[in-house]
Amino acid sequence: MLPCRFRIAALSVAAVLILACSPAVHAQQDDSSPHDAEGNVISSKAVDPAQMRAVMLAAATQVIAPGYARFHAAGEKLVGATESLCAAPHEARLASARSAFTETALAWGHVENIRFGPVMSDNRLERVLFWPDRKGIGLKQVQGLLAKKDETALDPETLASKSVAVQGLGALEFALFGAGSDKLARESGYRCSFALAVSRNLAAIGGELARAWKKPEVVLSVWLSDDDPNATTEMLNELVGALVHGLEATRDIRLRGFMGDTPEKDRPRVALFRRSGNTVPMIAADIEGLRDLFVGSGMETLLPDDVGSIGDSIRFEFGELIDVAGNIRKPIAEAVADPDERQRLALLDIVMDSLIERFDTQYAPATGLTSGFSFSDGD
Amino acid sequence: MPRLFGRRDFLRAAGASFAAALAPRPAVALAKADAVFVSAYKAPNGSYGVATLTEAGEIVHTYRLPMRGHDVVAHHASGRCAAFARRPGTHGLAFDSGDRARPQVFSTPAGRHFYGHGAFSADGRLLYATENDFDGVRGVVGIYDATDGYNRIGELPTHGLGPHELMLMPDGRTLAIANGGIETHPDYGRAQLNLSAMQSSIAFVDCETGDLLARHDLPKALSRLSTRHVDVDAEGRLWFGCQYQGEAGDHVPLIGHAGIGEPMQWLEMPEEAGAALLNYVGAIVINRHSGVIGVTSPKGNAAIEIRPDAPGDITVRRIEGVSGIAIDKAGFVYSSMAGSFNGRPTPQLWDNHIRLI
Repeated sequence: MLPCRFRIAALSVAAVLILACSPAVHAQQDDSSPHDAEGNVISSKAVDPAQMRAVMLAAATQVIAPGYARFHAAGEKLVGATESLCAAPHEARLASARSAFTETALAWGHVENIRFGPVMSDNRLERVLFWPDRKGIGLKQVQGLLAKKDETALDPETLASKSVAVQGLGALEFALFGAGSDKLARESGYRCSFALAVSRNLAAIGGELARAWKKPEVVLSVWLSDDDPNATTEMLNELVGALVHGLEATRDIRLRGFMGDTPEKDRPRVALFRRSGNTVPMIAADIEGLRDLFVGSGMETLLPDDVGSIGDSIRFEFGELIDVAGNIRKPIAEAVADPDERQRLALLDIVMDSLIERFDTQYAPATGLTSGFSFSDGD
Repeated sequence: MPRLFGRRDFLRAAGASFAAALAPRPAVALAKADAVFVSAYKAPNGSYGVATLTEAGEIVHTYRLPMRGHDVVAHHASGRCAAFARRPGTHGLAFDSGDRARPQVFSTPAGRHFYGHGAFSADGRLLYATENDFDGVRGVVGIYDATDGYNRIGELPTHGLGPHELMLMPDGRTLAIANGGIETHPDYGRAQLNLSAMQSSIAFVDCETGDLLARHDLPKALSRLSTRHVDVDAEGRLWFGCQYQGEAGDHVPLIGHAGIGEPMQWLEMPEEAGAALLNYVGAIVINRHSGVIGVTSPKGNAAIEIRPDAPGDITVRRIEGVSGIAIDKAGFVYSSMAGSFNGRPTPQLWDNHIRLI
């Protein structure tokens, strides 16, 4: 979709660029914000630090820690199901392993937009799911391992030091659902052992994350101390950032990754988890995870009373997204080819746009975040 | 040793007609002002622009921008200025600091976008801009001909990925480039596509041949550190400021220097400096009179002033949304994305960088 938007932007630029000098504007005193002795703005509609800490702790204990615990539990179940499959190949056991994969992947979807804490260390985020993979590196590497029967990929220790693209959900999906995977129901061998190694790696990372977040006061210690004047803003930045960037990533990378401006430009073959049929369920998981973060943390309580309705609008749009996603039932290649299903996908795009805008232009300013609150662009 | 470019120089460069043509109030503002700065901003009505303004934050002149601007660069002798769109924007606006020429939009070609920074050549005839060759997954320096409608006449490699700020070294021949090391692609929004394999660097590149004169790669242990902003000190050493993409609270170096024949060295700052900056350097400027290095962090709502010969002794200033920084007689001028300029509240929200013109 983006290239077309760029073209539209280019046209409007031509129109806007009259560029005659606008009349000079004088700096005016704006006394709506508190200033220090030198006149610098020191805080705007500041959120109460104690309230912010409570919201962050609620996010940790009600949403993040249980989310990682679910991912860890799903990973352990996945290890068990894959062990059973490898020990005694069978159609039913392959089905169990595949369904355990889905459960693990969707559990990850609920927490994958959390970008602070231990997930940011040791490449854990990328090791669980390396995406987008523009050049299809992961697939090539996994196919290479399967062809060579590389024994070093079967030991979780050595697997963890390999390319992030062969360690996580993308690699496992190909092993369990990709071309040739049906043989797993009849014979154990390298492919099953590889699937088991990746499952163990996922469970291990899940364990690390779940254990660390059992002590949220430790994970969040950098922000919970009293002596950091930035802590309140920083926590709010992280939570609003998780929501805005999570929605943007879901829209830009997951949805627009395969959906073009027009049906002719759709590319369902590059959709995440198309082999396991989890493309849309993963989008739904991401959105549910973000909704849970917003609702479970009590971020609404940070809004001043007079704009409390922003919270209602946000919850309404989250609900709409989850409903629409839940009604897209076909595998992705068929869904984009079906006008009704495709329209629902387009609706997801529109509502995500609207929700991002609401966080950016309503929630963030109402809670005192400056317009440039988003720093992930690295400006 | 460049001195401060003051009001008289500005008036001389701009010509008396500039001051005469101004509406009465800005003319008063200019007559009282000591120096003139330029910066991109967001107006209260949500539109974007670039302004020349006085030390007191009084606006002298504004131009509408078709996009959110980032850095604005100036060539003092010719009065040429250029504002760049931030990533992944594709437009820039060239204008004259004294408004003697029509502003001019220039754009990247297909397959490239700006990163928000650039520099004029020593003679002011060429404009260099950091750009992304996103399908080729490499950084390039686009070269625009200021004497011919800012036509893009070529490009040089940055010898790295994700370049951000570049500057022309005092020799007039070498471009110093902060290759931030982060792969992005406009099709994927702001997603960082290679965090697990980041490699940032400082590269010195011959601006005529594109040859790599020296490159300093960050060590593997600092692979999540992204070089971003640069400035040069009175001795001609290049200083750079970084942004950290790892876990919050990690203690990492943020400021260092390097040269063509000189290894990369880090400035050892007290831990409180990194904590105040939240491991994010939004701009770096060196006051070549005093030798003091100023860095800002809009993320940390803090600016730090530090002397390289006494790095343990820092001054921390708390300014909400501070990012723009430039030198003035007294030390530094700061602007804020929350709406302040040199200590005074302004209706405009200032973008990340200020320049003296």
